[in-house]
Amino acid sequence: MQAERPINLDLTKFRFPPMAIVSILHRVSGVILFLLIPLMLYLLHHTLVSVTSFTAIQEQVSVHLLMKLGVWLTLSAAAFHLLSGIRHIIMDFGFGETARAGRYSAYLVFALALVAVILLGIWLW
Amino acid sequence: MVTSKNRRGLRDWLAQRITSVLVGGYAIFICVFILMHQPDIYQPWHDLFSSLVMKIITLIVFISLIWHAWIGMWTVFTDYVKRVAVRAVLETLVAILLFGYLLWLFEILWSTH
Repeated sequence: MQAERPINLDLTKFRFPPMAIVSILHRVSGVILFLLIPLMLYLLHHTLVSVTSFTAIQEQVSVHLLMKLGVWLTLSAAAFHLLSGIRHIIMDFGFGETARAGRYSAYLVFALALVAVILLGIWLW
Repeated sequence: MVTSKNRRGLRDWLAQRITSVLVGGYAIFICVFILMHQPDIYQPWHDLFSSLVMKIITLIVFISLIWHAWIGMWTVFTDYVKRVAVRAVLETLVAILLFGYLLWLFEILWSTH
């Protein structure tokens, strides 16, 4: 066995470039979306069953804070994941692979995602 | 299903790209549909999902989604869960949940007329 070597990996002490933030948020938003699949199916189900059920769902989303937050979180996560996913695929095709382009496209994703999240918030509230 | 170590990386890489386009396209369609039918959306929404074509497309997209989600969760677990026994349990749980969701969607779509 080799002697225990020191590990210098305190994540709170790192300064992360914006591309790294986009990357980890892409992963986090993906996991959030997985966890919220049942909510999406529940909403689909109850908006299709009947008019009364549909109206009940509309009311639930507008009245219950937890439900409203759940829907807002799902849609925000989806928006971010989609936008950073598109950036990912554009880079797969070879566009914008330099560090500088990567930084700018990362900022663009943040800007667009922020707009989307705010618009979603307005729509839900 | 997986019989070779050699092609799995490429297969999963390609699967993520293709499934993401299908799911992303569908999500954008749904958003546009919802925005175009404000404020009285119940009837058009109901009619949309009564159509056989929409049901089939929705299922194809959802199957893509669960494959996409599976690869994503598999990657996350492989990166962070080093204990094989724990990872096996988590992966099995995710697989069962995803398959269950698919069955739920069948029920949702086929009870809509």
